[in-house]
Amino acid sequence: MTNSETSNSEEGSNKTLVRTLIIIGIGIPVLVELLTLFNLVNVQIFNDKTDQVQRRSQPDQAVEFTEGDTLFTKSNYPVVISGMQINVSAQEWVFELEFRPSDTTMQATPLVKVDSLRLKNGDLLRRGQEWSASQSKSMRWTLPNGQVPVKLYLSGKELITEDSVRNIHEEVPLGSIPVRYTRKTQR
Amino acid sequence: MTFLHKFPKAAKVSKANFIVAFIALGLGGFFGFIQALHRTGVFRGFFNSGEYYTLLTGHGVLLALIFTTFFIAGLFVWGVTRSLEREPENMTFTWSWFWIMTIGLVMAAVAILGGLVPNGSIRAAVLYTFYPPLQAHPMFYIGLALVLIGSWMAGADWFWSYRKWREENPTDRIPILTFMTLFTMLMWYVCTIGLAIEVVGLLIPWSLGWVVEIEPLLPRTLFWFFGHAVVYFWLLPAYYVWYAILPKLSGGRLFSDSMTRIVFIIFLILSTPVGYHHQYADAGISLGFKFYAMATTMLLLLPSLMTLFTVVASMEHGARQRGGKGYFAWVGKLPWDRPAFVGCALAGIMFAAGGFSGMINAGMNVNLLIHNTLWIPGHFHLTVGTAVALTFMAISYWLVPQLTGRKLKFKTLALIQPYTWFLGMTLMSNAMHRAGLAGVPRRTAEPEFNTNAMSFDPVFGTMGEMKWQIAIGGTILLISLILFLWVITTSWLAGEKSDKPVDDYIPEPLSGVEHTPAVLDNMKLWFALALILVLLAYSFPLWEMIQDGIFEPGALPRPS
Ligand code: HEM
Ligand SMILES: [Cu+2]
Repeated sequence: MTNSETSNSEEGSNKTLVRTLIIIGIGIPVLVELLTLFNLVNVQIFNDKTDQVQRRSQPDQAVEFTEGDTLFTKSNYPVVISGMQINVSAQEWVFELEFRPSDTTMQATPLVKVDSLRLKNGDLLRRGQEWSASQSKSMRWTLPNGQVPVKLYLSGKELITEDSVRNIHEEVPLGSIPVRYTRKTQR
Repeated sequence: MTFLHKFPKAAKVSKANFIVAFIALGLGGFFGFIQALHRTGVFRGFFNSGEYYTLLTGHGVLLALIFTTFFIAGLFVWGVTRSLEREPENMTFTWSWFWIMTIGLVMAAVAILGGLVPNGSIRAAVLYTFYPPLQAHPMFYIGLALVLIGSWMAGADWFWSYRKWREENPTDRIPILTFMTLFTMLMWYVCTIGLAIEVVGLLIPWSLGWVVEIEPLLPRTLFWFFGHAVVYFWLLPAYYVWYAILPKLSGGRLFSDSMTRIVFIIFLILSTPVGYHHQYADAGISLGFKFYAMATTMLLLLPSLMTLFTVVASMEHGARQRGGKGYFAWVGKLPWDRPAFVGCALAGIMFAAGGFSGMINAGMNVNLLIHNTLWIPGHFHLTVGTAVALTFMAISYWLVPQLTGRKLKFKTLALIQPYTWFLGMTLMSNAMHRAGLAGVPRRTAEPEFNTNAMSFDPVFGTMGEMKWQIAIGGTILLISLILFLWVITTSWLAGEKSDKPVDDYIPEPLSGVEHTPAVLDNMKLWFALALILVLLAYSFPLWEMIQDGIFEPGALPRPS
C-alpha cells in the first residue's frame, strides 16, 4: 500500500477529480434511469392511452371469417364453418373445409355451392363443390405448396316459391387458417 | 516479489492470453462503435449495410467468444498457479493449448473479415450464434472447434495441477481460487458437449458440402444447450474477481468461504438445463419443457442474489475497516479513487440492472414483447458487455502490473476509464431497452428509427432522441475503450519496473474454510448431479424432436 500512496497536493486534486467523475459518471446515469422510471410510471398510471389503443384495434378491413363463424346469416339457410384448416404432409398441402347447417336453418333443401377459392398469390382455384345446406359437408382442395386461400366465392339457390329461385352470391374473406402437419402419408 | 518473479513461466502464459484478449477487445469494440453509428443512421460512411453483418459477426465473436475466453484463461492460469503455489506441470502442454486456441481464433477471424474483401469467397456473416441456414466458410467452424478444444485442454491443465497438488497435500481443502476455477471448468465441460456436437457433427460436414440438408431446430437446440451456460462461463470469472479480489480492493476481506463455494456449485448444477429459455419462440418444443426451463431460470436468481449479498457484505466490511459508519454512509468510505475498485464496483451495479431486464427476458409470456428486439442487446451489454467486460478491464489494472512487474502508468486516465464506460453504457443500453419496447428489431443495418414504413410507437420519448442516445453512448464507450488500451499498453511497455508494483496480498475470508462443509469440495458428486439434471432436462425434448422428424430435413413443421 505504502508505495502507491501519493503526495498531499496530488491527493487534493484527486479529490476534485473523483468528485467530478462521480457526478458525471454516476450522477448522469442515475438521472437517466430515474427519468426513465418516472416516465414509465407516468405513462402507465396517469396517461390513459386507451383512446389510442381503441383507434388501433378498430378493424380497417372487412370482417374475416374463421372456424365457427356463420355464413348467409340474413337468409333462411345460414351455414356454419365447422372446420377449416390446412393439412400438410410431406407430399401434399391440402386445404380442408367443413360446413354444417346452423341450428336456425329452416328451409328444406337449398343448394349451396363454393364456386371458387382465391389464393394468397392472386390465383383463382375453380373446382367448385356443391351441397345441400341442411346437411354437413366437408371438402378438400389440393393447393400449390405454401399457398393459403384468402377468399371464398359462394353461391346459393334460394327457393322463393315452388318454381321461382333466387340466386345469391357471397364473397367470404377468410381469416388466418391453422396449418396442421401430419407425418402419416394421407390416404 | 510479485507474481512475475515467483512464477515466471505462468506469468508468461497469462500475459500471452491477455494480449490476445485485449486485441480482440480493441477490434471488436471498434466494430461496436461503427454499428452504433451505422444502424442509427448517424454516420453510415464506414461500410455499407451488407458489410454490417460481417462487422456484427466480428463484434459478437471477438468480444463474446474470444475476448472472454482468452481473458478467462489468463486469469485462471494466474489464480491456479498462485493458490496452488506451483507452475504449470508441463510447459509444452500449456503452450500447446494456447496455440491451438490462437490458431483457431485466427482462422475464425480470417473467415469473418474475409467478408470485407470485395468479391472474396471467404465469408462468415453468420453472427455469433451461427444458426443455419446461415452458412459460413468451413474455416470459421473449424477455427471455433479448435478454440473449443484448446479450452478443454486448458481446463485439463488446471485439473492436472490440482491432482499433483492434491498428492502433496492430501488433507488440505481446495484453495478458493482453484475451487472457483475447477467448478467453472466443470460447467464448461458439461455445456460444451452441445456445442461440440453441433459444430463437429452438423455444421462442419454441412459447410463442407458432405451433408446437404440439416433441420434448423437441432443446431439451435444444441447451440442453446451451450448458450446459456456460456453466459455463466463469462460471468463466473467476474464473480471470481468479485469474491476473491474485490473485498481486498475495498479494504476488507471476503465475507464467507462456504457461501462462495455453494454459489459456484449451484451454477454448475443449474446452468445448462435452462437453455430452452432462449427458444421460447421456437416451434417444435412443447410448452411444458419451456415452462420447466423458465422455472429453473428463476431458481438461478438465487445464487446471483447470494452473490449480491456476499459481495456487498464484504465491501461493507472493507469500508468499515477504513472508518465507514452508518447504514449507508460507509459507501462513501470505499476507495472511489482506485480504478480497479471503481471498475469492479460499477460493473456490479450494472449487473444488478441487467438482472432486472433479464427477469423480463426469462418470463415466457413477457418475453414475446421484447423477443429479438433491440431490448436484448440492451440487456446483454449490461451483463456481458459491462458486468463481465468492465470487471475484466478493471482487474487488469491490478493484474497486469503483477504479470509484467511494472507499475501502472497514467493512473488518472485509468480512473476516468471505468466512469466513462458506466456513463456510455447507461446511455446506450437505456435507449436500446426503450427502443426494443417500441418494437425496433435487433440485428438490422437500417436506421429503422427514421423510416416511416414502420411506425414505431415509443412508450415515451421519441425515436430520434433514442437514436442519438445510442450513438452518443457508443461514442463514449469507444473513448473509454481507447483509454483502457492506452493505459494498459503504455504500462506494459514502459511502466516503472518494481519488485512490488501493486499490493497483491489477499487476506483470508472472515468466515474461513474451517467453517465450510467438506461435501462442498466433492467434485465427483456435483459433476454427476449436473449431468443427471442435464439429462433430465434435455432427453425428453430431444426425444420429442426425433419423433417429430428432426432427422428428416425438409419435412414440414409439426403443430405446436
Ligand atoms: C465499445 C463498446 C460497444 C459498443 C459501442 C457496442 C455496440 C453494439 C451494438 C450497437 C450492437 C447491436 C447491433 C445490432 O443488433 O444491430 C451490439 C451487439 C452486440 N454486442 Fe456490443 N458494443 C460494445 C461492447 C460490447 C462488449 C464489451 C461485448 C461483450 C463482451 C459486446 C457484445 C455484443 C454482442 C454479443 C452483440 C450481439 C451480436 C449479434 O446480435 O449477433 N459488445 N453491440
Ligand atoms: Cu440464458
